[in-house]
Amino acid sequence: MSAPHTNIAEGAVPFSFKRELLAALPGLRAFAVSLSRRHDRADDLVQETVMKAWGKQESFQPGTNMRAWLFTILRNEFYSQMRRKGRELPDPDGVFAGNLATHPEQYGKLDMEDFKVALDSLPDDQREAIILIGASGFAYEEAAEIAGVAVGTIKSRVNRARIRLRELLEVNGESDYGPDSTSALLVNKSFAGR
Amino acid sequence: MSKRSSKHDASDAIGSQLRRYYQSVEQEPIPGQLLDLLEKLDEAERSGGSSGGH
Repeated sequence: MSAPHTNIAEGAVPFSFKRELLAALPGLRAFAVSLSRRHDRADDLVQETVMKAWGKQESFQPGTNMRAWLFTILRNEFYSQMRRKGRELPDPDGVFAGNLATHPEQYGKLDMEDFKVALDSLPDDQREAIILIGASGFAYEEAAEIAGVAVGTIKSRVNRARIRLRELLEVNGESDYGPDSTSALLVNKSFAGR
Repeated sequence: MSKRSSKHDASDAIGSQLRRYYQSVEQEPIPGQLLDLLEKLDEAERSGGSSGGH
């Protein structure tokens, strides 16, 4: 049976643990894709995370940050899978197929592909840090807790990641983007910050 | 050469590209398998059985 799956918010959701878990899934999955760099692997990771989280839901303190809790579980799962399986190089075809299967018309496709390649080339710890801070919306303190390191370590990882991305994408400022895309980015940004 | 101030624009460009990328993944539909799994876990719990993994 394949369930219809677009509207996760509809329907009766009697337990709030389940409801919160559902609400966190899109972000959790985006983190998993960023971390593992592959959609197939990301979905395995999210599945493992959901099972683990469900199994130890009693250990979750209501009122604390459920997203941070779930991200921590997923992150730990990612690194323990890496240790178990060893690091395999991602199959470039798989990566591309996975990305193109989504909605290429939604954004400037070439820009996004370049960006994804650059992001994927960062060391895991830097990629994780810049995603947590720059995209998942965590504070430095939360990101530090999720990654199990000091706040200063997260800050320096984020800085290194930014510098590296800038080098890779050869973004030096307006000259590379032009006034039009700069304003496009600003417009985009204003609705990116939820 | 007065490109110094555009260093800020550069981090903004990286930042918004990062968010756009992340949001594009967030907007993908959640795989049905995952939702099925959650339903199964929920059912198992409600019927008082153990939620025994796989």
